[in-house]
Amino acid sequence: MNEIVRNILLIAIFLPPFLTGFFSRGFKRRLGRHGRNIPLVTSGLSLGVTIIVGQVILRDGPIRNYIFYVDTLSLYFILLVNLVAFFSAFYVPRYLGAAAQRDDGEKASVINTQNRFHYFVKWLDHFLSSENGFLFLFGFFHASMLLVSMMDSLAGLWFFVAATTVISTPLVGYERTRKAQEAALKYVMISSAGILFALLGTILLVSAFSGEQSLDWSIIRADLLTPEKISVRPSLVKLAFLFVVLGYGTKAGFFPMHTWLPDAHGQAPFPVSALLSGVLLKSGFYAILRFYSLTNIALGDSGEFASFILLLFGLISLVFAVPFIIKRRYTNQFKRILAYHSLEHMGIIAFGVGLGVELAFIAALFHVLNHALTKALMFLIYGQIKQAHEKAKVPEGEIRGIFHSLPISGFILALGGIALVGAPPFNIFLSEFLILWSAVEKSVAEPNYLIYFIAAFLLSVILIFAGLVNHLGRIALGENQLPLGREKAPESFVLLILLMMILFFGFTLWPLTTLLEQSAMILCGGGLCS
Amino acid sequence: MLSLFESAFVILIFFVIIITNIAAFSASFNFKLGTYRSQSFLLAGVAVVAYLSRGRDAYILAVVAAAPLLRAFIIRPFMALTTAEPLSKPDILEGRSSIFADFFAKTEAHDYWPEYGTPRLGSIGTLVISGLFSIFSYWVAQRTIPNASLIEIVGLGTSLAMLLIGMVVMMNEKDMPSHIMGLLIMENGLFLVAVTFLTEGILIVFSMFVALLFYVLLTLFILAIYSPRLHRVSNSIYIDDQKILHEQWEESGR
Repeated sequence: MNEIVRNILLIAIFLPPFLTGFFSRGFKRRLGRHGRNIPLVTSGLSLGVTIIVGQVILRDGPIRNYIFYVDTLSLYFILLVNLVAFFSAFYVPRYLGAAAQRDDGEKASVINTQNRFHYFVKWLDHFLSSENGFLFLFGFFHASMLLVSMMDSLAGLWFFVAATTVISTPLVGYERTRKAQEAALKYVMISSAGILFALLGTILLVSAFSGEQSLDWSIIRADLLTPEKISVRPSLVKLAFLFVVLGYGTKAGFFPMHTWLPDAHGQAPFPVSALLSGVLLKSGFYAILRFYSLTNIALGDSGEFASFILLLFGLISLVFAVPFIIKRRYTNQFKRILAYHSLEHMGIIAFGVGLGVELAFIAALFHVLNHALTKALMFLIYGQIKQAHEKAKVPEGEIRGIFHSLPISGFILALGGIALVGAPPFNIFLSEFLILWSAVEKSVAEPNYLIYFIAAFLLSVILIFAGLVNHLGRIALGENQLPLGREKAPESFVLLILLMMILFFGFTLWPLTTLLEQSAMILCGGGLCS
Repeated sequence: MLSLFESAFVILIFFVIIITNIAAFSASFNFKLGTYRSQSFLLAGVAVVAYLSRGRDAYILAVVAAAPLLRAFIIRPFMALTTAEPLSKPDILEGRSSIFADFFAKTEAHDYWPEYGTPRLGSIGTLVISGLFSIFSYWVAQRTIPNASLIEIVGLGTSLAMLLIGMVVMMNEKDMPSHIMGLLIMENGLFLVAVTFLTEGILIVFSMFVALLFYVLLTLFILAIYSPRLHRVSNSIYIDDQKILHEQWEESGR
């Protein structure tokens, strides 16, 4: 396949969602209510192109041009973003339909100012709160997450991770409530401050190498693999990696930079929460992985430094998620509980990568997918349940007995919840088991502090299991709040497919085995995986 | 022995760190804004000196000096834009000849800011903390890059101090405009580290500064939308009044 076709294919990955954003007003005007399905069409298109590009990359190797670099690791994350966006997009029309009904009586605010700049800001504010604005933001949010995984330049990577914050803030605050605005403000302030540390880390890392400076990941890696070409200042590399983990860790939701997470996930529209939790956190983590690889090669210490940092952040995130999830007294806001589960799972993923062995890399990357799918399922099904209760004017804190009132949704929520806490035979069990297996193997080979880390890991996972089962029991059992027979089976059909995928990946890594193995090899280097 | 340009670089940075500390402990928002503008002008000077000390090839550094200058010019009207609606002062929003003139029309808003900018810990407490952070930053810089030049150590130390002091300002202030000031101080810190360390490759320097500048502008724009929105729903732009989510979370357990 010639170079031009390969480049066109790369552009075709992010172009459909980008165009949704760009032409959202036009689509909506021409298609009316059906315009709400545009994100579904474009994310489907993008997913299709990703599969084609995947075949090309697996056959011919990475695709690189002046701007993009797509190898198997990028491809894996692109696939992930598209999968979750595709499932979330199914629920965009439903969400927007309900939001339109709810806002029916609300008049558009009058833009009353003579000042043209102020008029523009007010118009933009107005637009971002509209249905067109939602489609615009959804498209750009999707496109920006894809571009994070495609950038070769570390500055570009930083810019698009930062752009995800800027674009998703109005989505978090889309519901014009006070709580939503507060969550959006908290999100943009904490993420903006955090991400600056990532840029500091990027600048320091680039400056730590002698010779001609480059910002391109592929060039830096190639230079580092030929040691005679450049010399390295190790202490600067270490400081850079610390800042990168702090900065991108804020986006990835690591403790203690996670504080935006429960508010933003809790207040965002449910298809957006699925994207935030399913893939936005992973975009931050993807950036960390790129730096992890460079740091290990630069230091040549068999991953001792960078792996330990990730192991530590992972374990702390996992352990500190426990009290938030098991506290019985927090009896409402299930979405917040789910957000704290993201803290747990990002901790598990970081722990897996921090082990620094090939099997753990594969397991951690597999866990990235498993968590994204399961969390998307949970947010989407809970959004559907919440919407049904909102229609019947039942407050969120009083949602009970959905096994009776909404049996199909209740069934999916219960199974999704069991999958989320890592029970067999679901996907998260398999990836967690593989991570633990690698940890035990490593601990047996080199007896050190790791055994205590494993004990803390196991204890945390068990406590979290008990915590979520308790919350699920409260919602699923008890006296139902809705009239019976309201639920229509086709409404949950898509989520049943997602549930099947979650079950399927509980038994095998296929068809992702090669992709995972090759992605793990990118993380190896600097004495790792030897 | 330091060269003329190196001396100028160190002297300018010395003033930058002094001004950053003043910004943290001052109890007036107007004064904070003034210090931020001075800090930006000084950083533009630092970029020009860095260009002069490195020779013609580093001309991109002189170009990027425009970034802090731009921020120094837009900060006052921007703050007016974000606070005009909450302060209900429509007279500062009268129409001008162009959209740019309209943007700068709001500079008179400084008359309406006296109540903002008081640090929670008080001026002395804040000064002690920001001073300690400054010392810590220089210590870290000196320990991290042992064989580095004085410029690198001073540049990294000052940048770290600005990032930490910016965070202190964000946590220590009661109102949203002052929080934004904290964020902007942090961004100036990044500008400084970039000027100090990025020495080669026009594309590298340019892409890094463009990324930073666009990000700053986009973030400011989002905040320009959110300050009035928050005021509309909560009737306040004080951070302490924006804790309904936290309170509800606490109350739900009782």
